[in-house]
Amino acid sequence: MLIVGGGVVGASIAYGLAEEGAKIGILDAEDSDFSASRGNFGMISISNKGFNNLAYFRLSYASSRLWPEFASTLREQTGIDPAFDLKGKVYISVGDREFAAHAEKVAEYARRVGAEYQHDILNRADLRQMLGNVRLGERVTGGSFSPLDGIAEPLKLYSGLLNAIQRHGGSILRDHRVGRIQHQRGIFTVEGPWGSLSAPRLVIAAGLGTPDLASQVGISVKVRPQRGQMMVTERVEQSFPYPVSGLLRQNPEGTIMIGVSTEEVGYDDRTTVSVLRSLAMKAIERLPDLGSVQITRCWAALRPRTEDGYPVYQESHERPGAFVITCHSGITLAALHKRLLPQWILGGRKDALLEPFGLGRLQSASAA
Amino acid sequence: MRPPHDLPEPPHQVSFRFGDEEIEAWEGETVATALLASGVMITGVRAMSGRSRGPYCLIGVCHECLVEIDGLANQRACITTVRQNMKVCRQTRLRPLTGEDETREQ
Repeated sequence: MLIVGGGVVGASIAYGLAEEGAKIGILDAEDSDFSASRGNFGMISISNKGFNNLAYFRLSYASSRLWPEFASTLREQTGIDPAFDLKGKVYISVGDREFAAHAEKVAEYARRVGAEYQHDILNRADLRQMLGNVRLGERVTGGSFSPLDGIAEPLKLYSGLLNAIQRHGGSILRDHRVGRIQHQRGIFTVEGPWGSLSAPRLVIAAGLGTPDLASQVGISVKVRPQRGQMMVTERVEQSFPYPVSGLLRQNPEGTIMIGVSTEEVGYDDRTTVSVLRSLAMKAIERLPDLGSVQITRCWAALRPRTEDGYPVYQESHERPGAFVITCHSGITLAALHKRLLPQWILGGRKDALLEPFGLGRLQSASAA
Repeated sequence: MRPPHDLPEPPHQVSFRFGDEEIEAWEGETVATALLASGVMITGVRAMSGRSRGPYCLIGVCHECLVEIDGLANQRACITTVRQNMKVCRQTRLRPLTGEDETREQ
């Protein structure tokens, strides 16, 4: 079985398939490619998922419940600990209006999702207690805490996945950009400057490279790049015990990550002073002590986004045996991808959680 | 870096403290090169792993040579020029987030 795309999404699926005994080859293009797997915050984000799409909340939530076993299995099999911690996440609001709007949104979330949606509004004093020693900005009015969310170390996760795949006999082929996909008598042949490889099943999980490859197996899907800029700081003492939604997390070794922006600027993964400055200002407005911390590195990455922002899990009608998988939240969904996609790809049993995410929902769905 | 040996006029010597040791250096060189030339290989201990660290890239990139200088943690020895009487310490802990703001502003 061939998997085109060696990021976190492709690797999570490959890990599951290899564990089921499938013979796996992952084809990945060059390091210089636009890679979302190096542009993420390592968050397992649930409390802000699917406000307008309950199925997407359920999918993300299910993955968060699978994460503990996923992480411990990975650690036991490889010795690499993805440092998963379902510790929860804090939201910090600045100004009365922002706090009121946030509280209203959380209440509406709870109405839509039901009892599973655990998310508590905190006043300023509660928030300070929750965050321990760190000083709150003068304009911080309140916030909230959701125990639904978790964190992992994305680089450890990624190297653990690659290690696990190889331990299960899988091959990871770097610099194997796939240009052309051919299909003959139930066998897919992928080709590139490096040569060609054939297999009866093909998984396309190539992020921004997905549309071109998917079209060659009769699947029409649109994926556009969304830029995220982020920064990492020098190492400092552990300062705030929970990640702060969409903005801050402190890693175990002391570095603080600040980000991630969301920008629609096409295929441009450069950083900009204006966006980085605004991220830094947002961080300092909330936690002013961060003003003295040195930034050591900033970077940007492009994350794939489907037309409606939700994942796509689609087998080709025209070329059965070819599967297209693309999503925005490859870390959150990693545990679910490993657990639920292999039985669909190998045995045709598509879990009910995945059903709402075929291409049928989008106008651009394949004519087939 | 160390000055060329054939300068028309010899460079000034400066000295600084590294823990309890007195380190001799040439004016203009970095803390890291002065320490290495004095035989000091280990400039810190990583707080989480407890492993010893020392200057490695010498161009400010790898952050392996972090030391405390005049009370400020997280200073890269390899891009900090020596000053007479500066106080350098092995860094063995993470930098506190608060309490250093005022000195750092300068």
